[in-house]
Amino acid sequence: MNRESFRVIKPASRWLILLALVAGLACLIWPQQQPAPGPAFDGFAMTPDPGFAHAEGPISFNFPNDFGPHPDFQTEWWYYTGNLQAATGDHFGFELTFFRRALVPPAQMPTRSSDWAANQIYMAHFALTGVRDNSFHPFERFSRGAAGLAGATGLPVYQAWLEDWLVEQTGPRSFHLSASDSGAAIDLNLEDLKGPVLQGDHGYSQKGPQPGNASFYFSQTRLQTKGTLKLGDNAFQVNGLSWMDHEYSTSALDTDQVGWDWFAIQLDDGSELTIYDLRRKDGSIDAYSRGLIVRPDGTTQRLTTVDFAIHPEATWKSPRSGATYPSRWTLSISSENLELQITPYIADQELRLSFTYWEGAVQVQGAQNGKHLAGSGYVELTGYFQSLQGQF
Amino acid sequence: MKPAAPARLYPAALFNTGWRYLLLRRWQTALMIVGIALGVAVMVAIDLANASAGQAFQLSAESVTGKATHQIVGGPQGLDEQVYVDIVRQKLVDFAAPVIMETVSSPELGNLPMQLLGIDPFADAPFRNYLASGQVPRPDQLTPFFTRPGAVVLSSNMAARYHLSLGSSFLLVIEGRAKPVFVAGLLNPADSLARRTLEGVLLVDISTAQELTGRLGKLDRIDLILPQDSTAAIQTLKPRLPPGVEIQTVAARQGTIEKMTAAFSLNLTALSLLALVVGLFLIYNTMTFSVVQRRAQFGTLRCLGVTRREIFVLVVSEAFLVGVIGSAIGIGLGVLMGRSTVGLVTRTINDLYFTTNVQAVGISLESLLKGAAAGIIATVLTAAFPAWEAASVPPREALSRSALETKTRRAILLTAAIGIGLIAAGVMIFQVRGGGLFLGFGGTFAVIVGFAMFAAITMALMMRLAAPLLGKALGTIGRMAPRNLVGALSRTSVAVAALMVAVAVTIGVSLMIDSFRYTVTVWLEQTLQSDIYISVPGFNATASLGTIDPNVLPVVKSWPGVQRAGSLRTVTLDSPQGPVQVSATDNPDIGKERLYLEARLPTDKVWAAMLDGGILVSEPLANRLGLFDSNRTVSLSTPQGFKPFKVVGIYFDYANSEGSLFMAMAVYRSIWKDAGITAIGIRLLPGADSDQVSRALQDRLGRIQQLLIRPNQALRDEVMAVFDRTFAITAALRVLATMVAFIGVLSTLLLLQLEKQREVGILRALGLTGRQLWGLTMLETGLMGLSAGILAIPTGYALSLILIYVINRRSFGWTLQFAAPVDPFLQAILIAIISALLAGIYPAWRIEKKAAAEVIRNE
Amino acid sequence: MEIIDKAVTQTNQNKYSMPPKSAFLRLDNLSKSFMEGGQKRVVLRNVSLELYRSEVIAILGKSGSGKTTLLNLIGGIEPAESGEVYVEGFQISALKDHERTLFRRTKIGFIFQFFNLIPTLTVWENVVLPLELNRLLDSQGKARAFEMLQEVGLADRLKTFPDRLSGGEQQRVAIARALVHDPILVLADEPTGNLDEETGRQVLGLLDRLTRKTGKSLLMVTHSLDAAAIADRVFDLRDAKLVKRSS
Repeated sequence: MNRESFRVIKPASRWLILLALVAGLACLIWPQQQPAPGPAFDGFAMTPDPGFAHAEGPISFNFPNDFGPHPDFQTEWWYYTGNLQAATGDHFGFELTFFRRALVPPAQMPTRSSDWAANQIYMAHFALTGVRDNSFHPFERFSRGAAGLAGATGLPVYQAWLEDWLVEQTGPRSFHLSASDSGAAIDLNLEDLKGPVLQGDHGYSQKGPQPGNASFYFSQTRLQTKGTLKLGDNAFQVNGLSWMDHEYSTSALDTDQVGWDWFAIQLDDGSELTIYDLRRKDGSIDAYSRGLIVRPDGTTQRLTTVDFAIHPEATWKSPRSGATYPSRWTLSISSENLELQITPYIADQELRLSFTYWEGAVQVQGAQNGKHLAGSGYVELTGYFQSLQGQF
Repeated sequence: MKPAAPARLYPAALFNTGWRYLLLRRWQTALMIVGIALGVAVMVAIDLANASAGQAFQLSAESVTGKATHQIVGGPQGLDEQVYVDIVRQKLVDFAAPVIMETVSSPELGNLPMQLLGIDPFADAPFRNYLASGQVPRPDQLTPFFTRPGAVVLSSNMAARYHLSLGSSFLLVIEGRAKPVFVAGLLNPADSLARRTLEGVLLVDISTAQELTGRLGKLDRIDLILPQDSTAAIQTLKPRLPPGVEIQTVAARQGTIEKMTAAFSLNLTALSLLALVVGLFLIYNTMTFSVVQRRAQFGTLRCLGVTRREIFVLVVSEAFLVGVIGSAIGIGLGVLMGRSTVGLVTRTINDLYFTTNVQAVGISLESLLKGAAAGIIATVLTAAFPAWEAASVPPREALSRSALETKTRRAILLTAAIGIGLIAAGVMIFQVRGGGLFLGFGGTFAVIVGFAMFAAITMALMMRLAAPLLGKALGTIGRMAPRNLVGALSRTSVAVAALMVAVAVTIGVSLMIDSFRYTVTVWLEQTLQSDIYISVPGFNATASLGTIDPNVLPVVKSWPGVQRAGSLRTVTLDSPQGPVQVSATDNPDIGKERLYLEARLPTDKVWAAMLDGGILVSEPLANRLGLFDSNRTVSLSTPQGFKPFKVVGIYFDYANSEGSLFMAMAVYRSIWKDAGITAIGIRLLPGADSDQVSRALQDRLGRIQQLLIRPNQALRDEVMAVFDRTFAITAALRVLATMVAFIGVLSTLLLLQLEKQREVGILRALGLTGRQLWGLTMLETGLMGLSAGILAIPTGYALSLILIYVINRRSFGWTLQFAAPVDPFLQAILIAIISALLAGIYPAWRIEKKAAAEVIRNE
Repeated sequence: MEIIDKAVTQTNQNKYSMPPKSAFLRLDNLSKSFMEGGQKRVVLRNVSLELYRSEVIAILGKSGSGKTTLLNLIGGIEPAESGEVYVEGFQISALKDHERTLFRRTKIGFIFQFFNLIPTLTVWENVVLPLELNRLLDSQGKARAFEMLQEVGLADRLKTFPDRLSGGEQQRVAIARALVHDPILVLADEPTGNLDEETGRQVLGLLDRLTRKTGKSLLMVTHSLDAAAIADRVFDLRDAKLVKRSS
């Protein structure tokens, strides 16, 4: 087996979130209050359909079309995170994510005459982190990928939206993001400085030993960002860097995995870093944990568990969910002679939505070969509130 | 300092005298209890039915509107779905949810009306809570709900009742077309409210709803939850809505229907109160009697130092005891009777107002408490007067009865004067413009009591007339009977009043029903001019709003024997005052086929005026919108916004109490661009047989759509059946009131006769035969019955006028043509005399059996 | 009404020990007339009388002579046209209706021609009724009631209802009822009027014995000379005037 076949990349956790989507929408329809004896909803179950496409080997991507949706695959997501500064010195973090899940393979979707007949369900998360006032504002929405309520397109122009939350391409390398809810809003223009970075083997990212148990995955790791951000009654002109991940697949999870610690770091030397630990039931770190360095010139270097180590240095206990998350880390990559201190901008960036996880802006200090380095990034922590086991 | 502390603690001995008296006079007490029990039972039964109907409405409303505060609605064909998408994509409001609703039925689900509710599960959570609690379904379980056509979710209770399980297929009949659907999910609501909300509801995705109802690209409405202060939100929203699409409060929409059913419920409540009023006359009668009977005893007690207040409390406490027992029995009886009244009322409400998918609701504790309170309070209040009378017995051994009777005779004129005053007051109350139903009933009550006040004077006059006549015919006994009655006027007049009220209620309600029936018959003759009617089967008896397939009309027009096929489009449109039922017709003779309350044009000019945009409004609508001044218009929501339509005439209509209007088909189509038709009226060529053509059409059209094809007579019969159903409960109430009355007379006469035993003993001793005594008794009771019957004639007549011209108009907005057949009057007098004679049998029998000495010694 | 309260206290304190010659009831020029068929008929004209403690007075008169009216005036049941009734020095006519009722309740015992027992109450309940009305139905009161019933010889018929008693028995119950709450004055209206001669004599004997034994004053109106025989003083009510009959 080659190295690539062992890659289980970070967005696996996002895959879990996506699955939570469908469970979560059920929560929305049938809000959960108290556990009742017996199932409150008994649905007519359909056996998982093998009719979806699978990622079975490297392919060539065609942008901007491949920014758009790939409905032959069951799941897909567009993940935007970023760290922004205002002229006032305020620091903000944002997350805007669109998840898509197909209910049945397109070929098997019955012919329906209503515009509302949906084979695609969309979920989106939007969160703002206000560092100065130590505030965190997570929001969640669901809708169907039909009747124009939610959806994604690649041609003629790349777009993904859910109601009024939107990402759209506005130029060859420029994108526009907008979302708002209850006094929190972003309206940002993103300029891709490096172009899409293919993860794994030219974008083919294998997740387990079986062939086909893999995804297609690419990122935009350095998106120069400019725009406005609103929090409460205040509006800010902001600048900063954003990150985009886009992945699609049709695959099941390995049941031994309970959660992930994922790091996306943008350093001031012009390089970016993706690292994640895959945590197993027994507390050990899965051998599939991986990393990727994107150098200032856009070239990439893949990392495996022998190359890096992540040490949690502190913990934070959520007063809402009661879950205890690691909250400061030392990351060392021996092969690069790099050591980084990673600290959340604020401790509480837990999203207690239909799926509970921690995803927040972090501050990075460190040194490489004795040279001081700094940066910002986003960390995602899953599987601390509930084991993902048995959920799906 | 006051003299020896007045009664704080009530002397137990006095209570003992009270309840032992009740025990001692078992017959008397039992009759009082029955009187109250029946009154309370009728009230409880009706109240349960009303409460049940109200709850059914609430639940039906709750399951379909949920927590929405406002709704966006479009024209007759709903609104474009893009309106919703635009609102959501711009996030104009925080909470918006699309809704498609249709009343459907299924042969596999008992053919009962059910609500097909099309929703978007993602938007619906803040609005409707289908599971108060529950576990999260597995994602793959929801897939069919979204993806497969005909996926329906229903409560597991309903599924179990109709032996459906996950995946079961069944047929839904929607606007006459059967569509296959299947069970894609079962809901197990944990709490009973959610369970009841789901009763009769079939939940589908909005896509499925569009496909099943054929409303592709359309929504029925958009539910909104706007903040408390909604002005700003509405102002943002309004300019962004296309013309013809309106935003309105849910309260306004539901309020109209609620007001209608409230009037209906109140009407029933009032009729049930009539039964209680009759029962109260009985109580009053019996209590008065018991006080008169015990004057000597009260005198003694007063001598012994019992205060007036203690005497008053004594009598009231007896009444209270009787009231409690009677009410308790009445509640039990009412619950039993309620089982049938709930059905009757729900049926009527389904016929007249809205289709409820709730079949049965629990017994409301409130109804029971209300019944108990009414029974007890009314009894105690009624007893207050006799109790006051008892308390004013002077503390002297006994004021002789003759003195009391002298007093009563003197009071005859005064009572009659009070009666006239009450009647005048009642009539004046009716003159209050815009007076509600409550005032109407207050007036009715005043008039009834007013007439009852004439009982004494009527009796005195009648007996004065009767004495010489009967004397000639029957000798001494003939003279004695009327004198005995006048001699005991204090009690006989009350008894006659009670019987009179009961009989009058019977007459009044009968006349009202007869007039109503007569009116509807005339109206149907005038209105149903076609030979055959075609419509889509619906659930509302008076109006079917389903759309007929466009392929039907051409077939009908070219059918042999058909001279002309007119079409009618009935839709519900919005006006600023709430929804209005609008019928567009292409019948140029419409102007001649209606009876007019107010014609503003000659009937042959009506059609031309209608083609010019004029409308004909029904009387209830005119009442509701205040359209009686000339130059009035009705505003209707059109695709270009609200547009006024000139009223060219007001016609009588008994099809619905919410009101409806007619406009020319050409006008309707040019404005609303709606080519659909709701009903077809066929005129046949002379000689064609309407039954035969109906059957033939049924065979042919059944292939296109399931339709109701009814010959004129069949439709007429059905309307009359609905009518009779509507009044089934009223008729039942009439019977109950008569029963109460009968018991009242029975008790009064029984008491009178039993009390007279000593006197009878003397007569017996003087040598009257048993047969003669029997004759005397029957003569007395018969005379009382006759008096009551005669007084009941004007009273009943007045009551029917009130019911027809005041109560019904205020309840339903219908003017009825008064029809006064002789039968109810004759029946009433007969009922009065027969019940009086029947009531005389037992005492007569008893008196005859007793030996003279025994009768005398009994004192 | 302090005075009544005081009087009650006094009576209770001085049971049996009242000086026999103190006049506690005084009728002062009482007049009363009725309208009958448009004509005024005077039944009492300037009647005056004093009654002393432990004294028995009989007033004889024919039917309709105004005997019952006189009792009603004393009992505060009817108002006098003129003149006053003083009981223990205060004026009955000055009392309000409610106060007169309470006055009757505490001070007076009634005995009627037709016995007037409450038919729905047992013998015992009839007797204790005045006690109960006066809130005196404690163990002492009950003992007294039982004692009274023993005195009238009906202690074995406690649970009997009046309709099971003979006339004489009923009147004996009525006597017990009239005395049980320790009134200062017993008013008897033809107590033997409805009884046969023998029974009447027995009842009179009982009345005589019991009133004297308990130190009560008794004012009795009757047309029976037998009844008059037990009296200390006898008056005739004739032509609306009260005339003392010399013994």
